[in-house]
Parts: sequence; C-alpha cells; structure tokens
Amino acid sequence: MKELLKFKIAFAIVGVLTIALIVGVVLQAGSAKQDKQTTQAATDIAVKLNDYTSQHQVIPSSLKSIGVKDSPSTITYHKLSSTRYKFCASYRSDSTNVHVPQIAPRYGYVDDIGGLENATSSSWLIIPTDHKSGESCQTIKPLAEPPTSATANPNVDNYVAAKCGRTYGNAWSALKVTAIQQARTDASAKITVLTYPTDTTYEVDSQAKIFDVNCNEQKLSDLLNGQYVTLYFGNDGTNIVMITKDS
Amino acid sequence: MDSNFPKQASEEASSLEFASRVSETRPVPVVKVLSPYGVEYIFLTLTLFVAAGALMGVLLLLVNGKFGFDLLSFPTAVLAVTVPTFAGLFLHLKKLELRMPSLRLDASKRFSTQTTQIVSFAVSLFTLIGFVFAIFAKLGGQGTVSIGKAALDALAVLVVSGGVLAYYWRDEHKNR
Repeated sequence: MKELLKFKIAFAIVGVLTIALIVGVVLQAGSAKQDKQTTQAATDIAVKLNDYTSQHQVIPSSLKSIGVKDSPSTITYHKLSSTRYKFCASYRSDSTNVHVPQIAPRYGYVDDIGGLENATSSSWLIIPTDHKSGESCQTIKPLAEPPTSATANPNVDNYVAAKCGRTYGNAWSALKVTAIQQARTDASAKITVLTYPTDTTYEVDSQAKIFDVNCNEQKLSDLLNGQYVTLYFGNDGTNIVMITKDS
Repeated sequence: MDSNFPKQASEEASSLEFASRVSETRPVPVVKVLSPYGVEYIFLTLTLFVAAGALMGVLLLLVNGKFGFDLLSFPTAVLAVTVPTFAGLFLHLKKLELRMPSLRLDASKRFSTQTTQIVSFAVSLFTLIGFVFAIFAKLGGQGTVSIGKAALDALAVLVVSGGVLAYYWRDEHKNR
C-alpha cells in the first residue's frame, strides 16, 4: 500500500496542524471566559454607577459604596474629584470586532488603539461589547463643575470677595443652605445646599474663611439652614475655600 | 409505395395513442440510485466541501491577523470533526479503488469528483476575479483593502480550492 503512504503523510500533517489549532483555541477559551465575565461585571457596574451619580449627584468613593461587593480584579475604579471618576477594565484578548467603533461623543468609549488610556470625558459610563486586549479606561464626568463666577451673580460675588480681600477660583451665589456638618477628627466640615434635582454636599476646606455681607469673619456654626450664601471653590473646583453670606 | 403502409401506420398510431394514454394515467417511475459506493463518495464530497470551507476561513482569519477565540472556535470545531472524517473516508475509498480499479470509473464516484472540480473551479475563478477587481478598485482610489492583503486573502482561498481542483483534475485524467 505504498500508494496510500503519501496520502497518510499529507493527512498526518493536516492533522497535526488541526491539533495545534485546537490547542490554541482551547488555551484562548480561558481568556475569552474571563473577558466575558469582565464585560458582564463592567456593564452591571456601569448601570449602578450611572444610576447612582444621576440620582445622588455625587461621585461614589468606591464601588462598595454603591453596593458592588464582588467586582473582579480586572475592573478598577478611582474617584478623581467630586465631579469625575476613572473606570478601567482589563481584557486578556481581542474581542470579535477588533476595530472598536467610537460611540457618540457624549457617551464613554474605548479607543481603538488598544490597551491605552482614553482620556476623553463623557457623561455616562458605557461598556462597549468589543474591546482590544489590555487595559481600557474611561474618564467619566457625570456631574457638572460648579458654575464659574462668570455665570454666578457678579454683583454679589465680586463685590463681597473684593471687599473681603480674598481671591477665589469659581463661585456660585444665591445658594440656600439645607445642612451644615461640622468638622470631625475623621472628616472635614460639609455644607449642603439646595440644588436640582437633589441637594449637593461640598467639603469645606479646613482653612476656609466665612464672612457676612460686611466682611466680618464668621464661623460655620453661624450659618443657618435657609440662609443664602455664595460658595467659593478652590482651583480644583471641589473644595470650598470661602463662604459669604448673601444679603 | 409499400402496400403495408396504411396498416403499419395505423399500428404505429395506435401504439402511440396507447403510450400517450399510459403516460397520462400511469407515469413511468424513474428512480436514480447511487452505486453501492456512491453514498460514500457523496459523504466524502460533502465532508470535503465543509472541511475546505473551514480551512479557508481559518487561513483568511490568520492572514488578516485575527486570532480571537470568538472567530476561530467555530472553524476549528469544524476542522476537528471533518479532517479525521475526511481522512478516514478518503483512505477507505482509496483502498477500495486499489483493490477494485473499476471503481475509479464508477458513475457515482465520477459524479462526485466532477461536482467537486466544478465547484472548486468556480471558487478559484471568482476569487481571481475578486482579486483583479480589488486591484482595479485600489488603482481607482476606491479600495479600502491594500493589494497585499487582497493578494494574501486570494492566496488563502486559492491554496485550498486550487489544491482540490488540481488533485481531482489529475485523478480524473488518470482514468483515461
């Protein structure tokens, strides 16, 4: 049966190549499974994060604070400021469509360079179903920065600020105080003001000054609920560095 | 003129009329069956088509740098089943052909091999047409795929379809 030998050799070669292909696919199966779990977990977390930031108008300090207890190690979350956070997911392999399309700019997206950080901010965290291997990050800014002094009432802000001899970054005037929390050993003071759709709480810097309309220095405890104030934000746009009572 | 003409013509007319009546009322069944080994050749051809399609798919994915699990798992599953099946059937039928040389001229076998040749020729032909069209499109500034990539894609298909065509062409012409 020498005639069959050449066919047997040919089939042996094709068989070895097929076995190599099978081994490769089986080895990839673990990565694909982990990536699928990562995508599923990231999608679930994204829903919770979007809901939380939309309802509370606050960036959660951690995923645990929004009820995510068992997030996989391939997902990381960092609160960058009171208005932004960074969400990263690590994938072990490319998904089916490696040319990840850019979603509409107002939504989050993963860049199609692959494995690189995407610095684009968007309002909502959206997890694309397609990804490249490596870490894909999104910086999300679901909350608006406090209005700048240009959008605030200039007659009040500038007058009082100048009168008190202080400089400031941004200010937001005519805010109704709804709650005051004094500083504790483990937490800085906080002031809550009436905003839409829910109240907003800001941290008050330990060095922050508080003045009445005549530029007399006040204490935080002098502020009462229902009092209208102007809040002055530091350069990072988060901490309150000065509070003045509106008239 | 033949004196029997009227009688003969009458008999023929009668016979035709009868045949016509019979064909109207009782259609003659025509059953085409495969030869005893014909079914195995059909199995072989079917397995070959499926395996060749999967092999082309894998080659196209690999030359395009797509190694993802989602993409490779199905053609790999197809190859895992069809390669040993095809090898077993092919070697089995080859042994039979060596034992019974008349099997090489078996009508069912030749139907299978000729069908394979026609299909593989058509695939090769349209692949070449596609490749030439891709070159024209690129020259006209319309193509999105580079000529090198189009050439690799065409080569991946032609290696399989051309290989199948070449083997069966040679095998068919050895029978003469």
